[in-house]
Amino acid sequence: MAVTGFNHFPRIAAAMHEALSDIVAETTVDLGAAMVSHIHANGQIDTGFMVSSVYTVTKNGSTYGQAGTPPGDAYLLPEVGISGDMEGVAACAANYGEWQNYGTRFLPPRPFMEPAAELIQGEFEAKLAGLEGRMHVV
Amino acid sequence: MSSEIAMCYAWVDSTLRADSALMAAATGGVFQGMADIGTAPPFAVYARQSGSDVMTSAAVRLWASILLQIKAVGPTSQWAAIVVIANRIDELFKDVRSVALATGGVLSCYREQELAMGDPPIAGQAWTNLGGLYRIALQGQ
Repeated sequence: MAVTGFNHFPRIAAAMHEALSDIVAETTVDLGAAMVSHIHANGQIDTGFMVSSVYTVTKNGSTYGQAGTPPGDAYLLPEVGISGDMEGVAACAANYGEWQNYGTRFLPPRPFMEPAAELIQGEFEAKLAGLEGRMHVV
Repeated sequence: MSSEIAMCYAWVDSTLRADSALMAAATGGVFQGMADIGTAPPFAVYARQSGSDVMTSAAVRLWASILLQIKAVGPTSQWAAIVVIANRIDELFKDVRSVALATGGVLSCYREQELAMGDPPIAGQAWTNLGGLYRIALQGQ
């Protein structure tokens, strides 16, 4: 049947996967950049270790391990990996990052993770809305 | 009104303080941001975690979407009381709709994420936090 010649769904599916994984990777990198921006805006830079420990993991690779020297008894948390090209990680590897973000008994929270995520959410949705334009098939 | 955060803080604070079970467990009290140094634990703390305005296409603000952390804090040796406080917090804020305030009101409140983390040890004693991040839609007027 000639119908099989018009079946573009496999190509569409492949292109959609590629476009979606590109969006995930781009959003992840932008999320990491937004976290860094918020750390700067919050005035959370003393030694620079925490801001330098922000990293991203995408299908294109990882930026983990580019942090400066940990001050005092601070240390770098292990890298968080991804299990496929539809995942991305933007994280802060400084062990005290969560205390800065959520606060402690002695420290009010100065969030940089959630505000960055809220900022990037709109961008993510806009990119998803433009998904069709990224799929160059048929 | 531009002080949705202040309205939110006032509503959360008064809701927490009005709960006798919570106040019985949170013997140190309820604090905004962080507890006073020297406060005897356990206690409850709330603070803004994030937020954004929800607007029309013409940039008219409809409401503020506020992400608030509300949690119990104390040494791990007081874990039982910390759990009681966290449970009461969740009971109070996990599913709230249409609360009228002096001006405006809370449109909705629900938990968006659990929160549990250890604090740096204090004098060799481990401390912990337990609570959640609550999404509060609050209309100023």
